Amino acid sequence: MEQQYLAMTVLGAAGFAAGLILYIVAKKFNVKEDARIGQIEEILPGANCGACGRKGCHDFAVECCRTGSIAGLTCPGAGPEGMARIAGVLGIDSAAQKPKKAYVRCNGTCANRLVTRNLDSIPSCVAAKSLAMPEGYCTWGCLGKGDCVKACNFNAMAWDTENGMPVINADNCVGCGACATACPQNLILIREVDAATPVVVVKCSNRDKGAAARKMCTAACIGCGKCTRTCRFGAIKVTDNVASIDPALCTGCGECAAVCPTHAIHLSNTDL
Amino acid sequence: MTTYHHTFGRKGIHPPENKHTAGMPITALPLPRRVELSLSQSLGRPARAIVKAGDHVCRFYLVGEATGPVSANLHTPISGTVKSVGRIETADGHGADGIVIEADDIDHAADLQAMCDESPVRSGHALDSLTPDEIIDIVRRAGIVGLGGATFPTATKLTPPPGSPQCEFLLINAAECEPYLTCDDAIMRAMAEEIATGIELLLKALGSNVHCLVGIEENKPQAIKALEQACRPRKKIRIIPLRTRYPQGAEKMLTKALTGREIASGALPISQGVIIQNVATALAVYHAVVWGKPLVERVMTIYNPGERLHGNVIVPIGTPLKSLLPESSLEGKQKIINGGPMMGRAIAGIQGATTKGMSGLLLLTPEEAPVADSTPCVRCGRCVEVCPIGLEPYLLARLSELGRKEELEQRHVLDCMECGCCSYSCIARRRLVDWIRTGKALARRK
Repeated sequence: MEQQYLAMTVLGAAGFAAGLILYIVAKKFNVKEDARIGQIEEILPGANCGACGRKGCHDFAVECCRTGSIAGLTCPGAGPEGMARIAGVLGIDSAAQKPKKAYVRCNGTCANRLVTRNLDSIPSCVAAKSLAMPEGYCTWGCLGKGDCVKACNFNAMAWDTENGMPVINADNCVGCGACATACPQNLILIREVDAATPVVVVKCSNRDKGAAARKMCTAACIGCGKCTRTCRFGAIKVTDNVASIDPALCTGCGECAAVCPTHAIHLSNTDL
Repeated sequence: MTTYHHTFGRKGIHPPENKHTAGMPITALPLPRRVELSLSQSLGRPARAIVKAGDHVCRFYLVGEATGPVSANLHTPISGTVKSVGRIETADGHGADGIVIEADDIDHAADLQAMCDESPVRSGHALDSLTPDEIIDIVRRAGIVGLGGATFPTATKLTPPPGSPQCEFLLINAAECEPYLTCDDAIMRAMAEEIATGIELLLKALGSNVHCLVGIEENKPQAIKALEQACRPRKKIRIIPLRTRYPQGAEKMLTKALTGREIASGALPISQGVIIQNVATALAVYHAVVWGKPLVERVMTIYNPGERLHGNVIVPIGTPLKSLLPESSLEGKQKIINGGPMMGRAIAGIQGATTKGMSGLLLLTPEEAPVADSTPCVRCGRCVEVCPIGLEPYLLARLSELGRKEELEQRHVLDCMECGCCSYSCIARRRLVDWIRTGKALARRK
């Protein structure tokens, strides 16, 4: 009988001590996690497919809560309804989140370039960028090895073999920016679009002076400033010999595209 | 009698040496009428132009000022008028900010005299009375960078960051392991005494307890002999012949070959108590300290058989390539290479101008530089066998093809120095270095 009491006391004491330690540790190392992360994770499919460009669903949920918006974040698994529910969890209006799309700021197709080079044996844009360029070759433009197409997780980019340039399928593009990160020439612009306003994009990134740029590519922005003078909204600036458009001021009227002498400014509704 | 000489281990390769221009005397070019000086002539940030269009400049004038510790001064090799400051064409075709100077026929003797009088970089110094700081200051002002190709500013290398271990050895890289290149060989044969003095100045700049080891590959017997003779009275300098092996001139390999020490991944040579300078840099130091001449010219190997300029040539920095290589020499050529055939980069045409880091211009025929289509990897393992760093090139190439950033990092893709041993030994002619370069860019991306 005595032995039984002894065992009960020892075990009971050990159990109490262990419980106490667990309680203290749990209190001391408690991490307060945003409750919304769990809620968002429940909406997400939980497949950790990486198609959003994040490491997994948890990372996606953390990012949503950190930025407090779903701008540039899209889960193809959850779909538009899922994204609307996530917006609801975050307490924002999903309609106010304008979708983002990618645009290539170069129109250096094989036909437009005056000097081309053979890169058949070169595996990627990054490798191509480290190579020497022939005289008169546009060093600012598309390198034509499709790193952006390989980076796209949403099947929104395709390669136009005839032009030697990427083509963006605006329906599939979610504006995640994976292509923009992959492009060693920093040619891809991610901007908000609005179904009502057409998108105006300067499809050139050549910062050489006009005369030099013209010798490289017939579609180059030559920095003449005609667009700046034409624009009634002050949305276009020419910096470093290349025009850039402020999307906040642009109304999509397209007057600049009409006057551009080299047709470097392109106007489109959503497709480009 | 055969002597056994050190090398860095069993890795690496021994490509055909092709040192056709060895033994040819050094020829000097007349000063060019026009120079195009790129402001990015050193590793790190480009220099800042301190002249503007229309300014008159005199030979050896400072035209570009260093903008940080890893940046170097830039001087003009000719007297003349600054034509423009802005974008200029470079040999690789990417373009850079630079200064274009055209020679005029104004007499600059008075300017030169005035500059000599006020410059701290000048001749007549009693070498023994120079302090280490004075030597480093002269080297910094003279815009000297590592002439082996990496163009790291020499003065910065001579002042290790605080807290680093005491420097024990100054290693002089005279291996010249690249095939075809013979410019270092040529200067060692012709100017051994000057180089020895330059090394002595470098030793002095590093302090009293530093010894110097000069590593020369055994395929340059005359250079070894000349330097040995010049260094005989100088007790702190030892000439060490090395077994010919590529890439012996790389800093990790040279340290291994000369001292047996290994530099850890990502560490600087000073972590093992060594500082490495190229032999051509030692000559530039001699010119700066003893003659008061900033770095405005260098010896380079021009391999262009049958043409007027073929051999080892003293070329002013900024000389347009068009004046070095006639258009006709391109006929029947496969490639123009800036640098050596292993680490150098092919350039697309005769464009741009020479820079401080340009050690050679090689015009190679299709037989000398064959281009073959790559075929699938057969897993023979030759690339792994030869990689001097001990990486697995076939795997790194495949991982960067698949875009697997984390795995590339785990397998130390950033330790690759792009020496090209893997591509050279690949029997399937795979573009391993191109892919690994892609992988390195991927691993550096956030």
